[in-house]
Amino acid sequence: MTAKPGATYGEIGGHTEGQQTVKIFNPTYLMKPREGTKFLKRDVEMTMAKILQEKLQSKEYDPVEQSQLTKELCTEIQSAVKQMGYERYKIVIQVNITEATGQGIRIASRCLWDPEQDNFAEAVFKNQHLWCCALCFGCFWE
Amino acid sequence: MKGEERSIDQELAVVTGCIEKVITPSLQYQHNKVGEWIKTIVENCMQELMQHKMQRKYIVHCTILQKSGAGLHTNTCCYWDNTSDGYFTHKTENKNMICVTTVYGLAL
Repeated sequence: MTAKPGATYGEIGGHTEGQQTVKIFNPTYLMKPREGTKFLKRDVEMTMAKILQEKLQSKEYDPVEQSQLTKELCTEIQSAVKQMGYERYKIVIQVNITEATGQGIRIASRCLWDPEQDNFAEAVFKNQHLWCCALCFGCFWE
Repeated sequence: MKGEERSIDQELAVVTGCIEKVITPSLQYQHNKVGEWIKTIVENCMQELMQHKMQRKYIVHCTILQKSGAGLHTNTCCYWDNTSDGYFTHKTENKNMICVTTVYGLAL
């Protein structure tokens, strides 16, 4: 199998099995992300804060609407982060929305990863009716 | 794939045990202690997962919410490889609070 001209790094070609083309990838032996493609916490935080601000600005808490809204927020944040060009990063997004009635809430995470490559970003939005916390974890895929 | 299914079930048992030890049925919500409880849950879960010594990166995420009639919506969206990565969620509640714990396992 010869490399196709213009193939992305690691791809060395493929063969057809039935109706599906099976892609075969060469190992890249990359230990860290290429320059300019490292997960940058601040940029992701700014993007997430902007999305939360736009979508939740004047919303009130409504149980039916919020269940749909959390899904939309998740997908929107995911597409925005994908477009930021972090190659070889696996992204996990979590969005929590709760009604603001003076109750206590505590959220915590622990991660077992490589702290030089991986990171997380968080954004919190609050108005008088609801409180929203969005988390984005980025893990480099070796 | 089989190895993956077995290990996600194992994660289930391990994480459930760590949470049930802290969030007992009679526990009252106390604002000054909740930080300590959540730290214990999350760190114990992580310690247990580390003992598995699998080639994985883990994220353990926990939310404790006081019960006061307010609603909570949580959603997760992941961009990963479905064949090698997975997650597990466990919800515990008692009369005074709800605890939702999620463990994500990402292959290297």
